[in-house]
Amino acid sequence: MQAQFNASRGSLPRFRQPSAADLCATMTAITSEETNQSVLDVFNAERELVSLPVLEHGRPIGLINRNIFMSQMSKPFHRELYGKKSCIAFMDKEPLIVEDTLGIESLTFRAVEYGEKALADGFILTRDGQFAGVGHGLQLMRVVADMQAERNRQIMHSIDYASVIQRATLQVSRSVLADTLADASLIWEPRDVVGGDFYHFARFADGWFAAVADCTGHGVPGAFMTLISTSMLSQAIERHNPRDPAAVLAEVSRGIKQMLGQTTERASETGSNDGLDAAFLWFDNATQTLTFAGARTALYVLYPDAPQIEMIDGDRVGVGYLDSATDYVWHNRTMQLPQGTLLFVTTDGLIDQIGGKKSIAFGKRRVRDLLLAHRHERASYITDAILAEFANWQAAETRRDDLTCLCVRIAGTKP
Amino acid sequence: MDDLYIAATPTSPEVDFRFSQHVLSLKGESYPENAAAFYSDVISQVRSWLASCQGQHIVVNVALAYFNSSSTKVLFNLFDAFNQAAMMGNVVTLNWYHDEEDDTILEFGQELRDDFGALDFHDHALSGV
Repeated sequence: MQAQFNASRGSLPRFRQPSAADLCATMTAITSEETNQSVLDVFNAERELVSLPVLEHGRPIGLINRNIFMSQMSKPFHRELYGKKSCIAFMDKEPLIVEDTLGIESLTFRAVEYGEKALADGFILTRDGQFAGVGHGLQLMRVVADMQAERNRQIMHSIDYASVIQRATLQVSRSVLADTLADASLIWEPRDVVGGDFYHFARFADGWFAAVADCTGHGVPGAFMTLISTSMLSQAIERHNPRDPAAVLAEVSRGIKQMLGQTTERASETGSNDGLDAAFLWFDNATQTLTFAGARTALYVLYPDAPQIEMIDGDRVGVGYLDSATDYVWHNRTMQLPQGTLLFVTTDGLIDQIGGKKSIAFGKRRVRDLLLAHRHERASYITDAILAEFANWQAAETRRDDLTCLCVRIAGTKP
Repeated sequence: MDDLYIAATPTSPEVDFRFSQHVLSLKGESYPENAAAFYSDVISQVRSWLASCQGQHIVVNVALAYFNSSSTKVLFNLFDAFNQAAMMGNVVTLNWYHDEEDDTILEFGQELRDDFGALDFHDHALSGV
């Protein structure tokens, strides 16, 4: 005979908010007509009982603490004096009493406001005013800690999954970069699992396009912005000319403004003022010419025989923001790069990180010094050296922002 | 108008705006999770106070070691409000403090000086910790 399958789902666990009722530890109680001798009998019979509620017509009127009661009754002649008297003599007349439907968070605040007593003696639970049980402080802490851990777990699982999606959007660019350039290195470190920085790299028959960008925000809101921005960027590169990075910046800016309603007419409706700082690069293989357009992001260039780094500042206008004009025209800067020239681009997460003895920003000078010191090493060695110095600088300080940087040596493309 | 004081946290600065003395000070770091939410009330109070200022000398002290990009947006709005007050006939002194080795904050101050020409800008490089 086949076993009967019970299709009822009635006994399966269901999600519900925990309430004070979950903390009901004991139902033992005594009525106000009973004597202190009875209280003593109860405490002797139930060794674990910390406190004993006193009821009148089923409603709680007080709570007798074991230790206080016992020390009173052990005084000389107290047992003889009080034994036959009503048990309200040694009870606390103002214990914490809460309805058992009360949420755990509200209960915690009530218990903390009430002070040590509510945590040590416990609190009385009622249902429609009638006694329903006693809960204890330790158990309350356990439930609060469990809830905290559960919420944390849920949020982190959600963000971990978001991270899988965000990394997938970046993976293609990373692979294409590795397959295209002979000597390049890319660092992408979100501050909180997911982040507001992104990069993009695309190869064309006549050259390559690279982007390093820092969207407003970090964490989840930052990651939202990277998804919007990357898709805008991919569209802009497809529809327009990747050989004109300034035009691509303008196109991404218009796209973001439109998508988030960040035009002057719609500003008050959405309340959004978000965008990105970015460096967009186009490199033409045949002429070895680099075209750079920046939005509040600088390009570091180290020519093979130059004694110093050349800093090429971007325009001081961010992409997509409310106060960036819809028709703003970013500028292309073009430079011819001899073999061996080193390029470096970073988001402000590197430059602005607080650290060192004085708790000040890492700064551009340290980056320039490191590029100069390791100029003959491979790009990956250089970024490793920068990260090592950065970690040393940050030391025990918390990471302030996401960090992305790209280091490229002009050394030909792979077949 | 009541003075405005908000104690510093690790991610938000100390806001000490003594409207009664015309001295407004900001000190610390600024990278709250939601900069717009943190500053919206601060900015609206400053704006309404500035609207009542006529021919005043206002001193603004700023010692910020770090601010994220969304805070930067909000701070620009704040300095824009001061700049407008300066153009309306008030004298607004901006004392910009940074560590002598902190080029990042120094440069940001220079940008403010360039962008908000009506402010009486003073750079203060601090030595030591």
